[in-house]
Amino acid sequence: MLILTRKIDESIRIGDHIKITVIEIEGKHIKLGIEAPKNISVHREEVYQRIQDENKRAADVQQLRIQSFADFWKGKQQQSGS
Amino acid sequence: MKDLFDNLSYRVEDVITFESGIPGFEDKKHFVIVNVPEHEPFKWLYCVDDRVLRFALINPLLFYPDYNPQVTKADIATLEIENKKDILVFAIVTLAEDFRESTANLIGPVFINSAKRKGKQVIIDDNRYSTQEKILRS
Repeated sequence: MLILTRKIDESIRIGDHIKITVIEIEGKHIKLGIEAPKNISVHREEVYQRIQDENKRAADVQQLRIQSFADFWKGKQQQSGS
Repeated sequence: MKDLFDNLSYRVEDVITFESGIPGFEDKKHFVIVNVPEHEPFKWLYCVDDRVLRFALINPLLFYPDYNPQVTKADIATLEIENKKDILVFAIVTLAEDFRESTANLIGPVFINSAKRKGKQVIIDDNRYSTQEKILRS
């Protein structure tokens, strides 16, 4: 991992198009400003990880479960339709 | 064991490209949406690069009528959206052992540009939702 030291208002540049600036430091909180091309998604790491984890759980699709749900759903639709 | 998709046929033009894959499966980029009538209200997002990988999708509005994830400029660029009417929104479902406990990922909806056959799982910055929202609420 590359480690750089920066002060408030100083930036780092990643490649030609991404710039990250230290905006504010307050105690343990650091505000960063990120300029990146609009086709680059920027996310908090823990949110991205939660999505990854959930996708891994979701990928274990068991047909029996989907069938039980679908049967229940059909019953419900018929009830509300009658 | 016989798999639901053993005999699946699809047209090349039905393949949806996820250029960055799906978080957790970043190298899987080609999927088709499969409707199995007896599995409604679900649809399947089936990976044609890896026949084992598939997700159950739902239309989140069936269960969360107020759900309205924002389509950002980044999504419009990545999915090459020309007309917002072309966007289909799905949520990936995690099916629980007791199906009543099944959840939908509402901070990571799947957007599909039906005109260009491009898809992306986006991440929305909305703390009203989580990755595990129960789909059956009574």
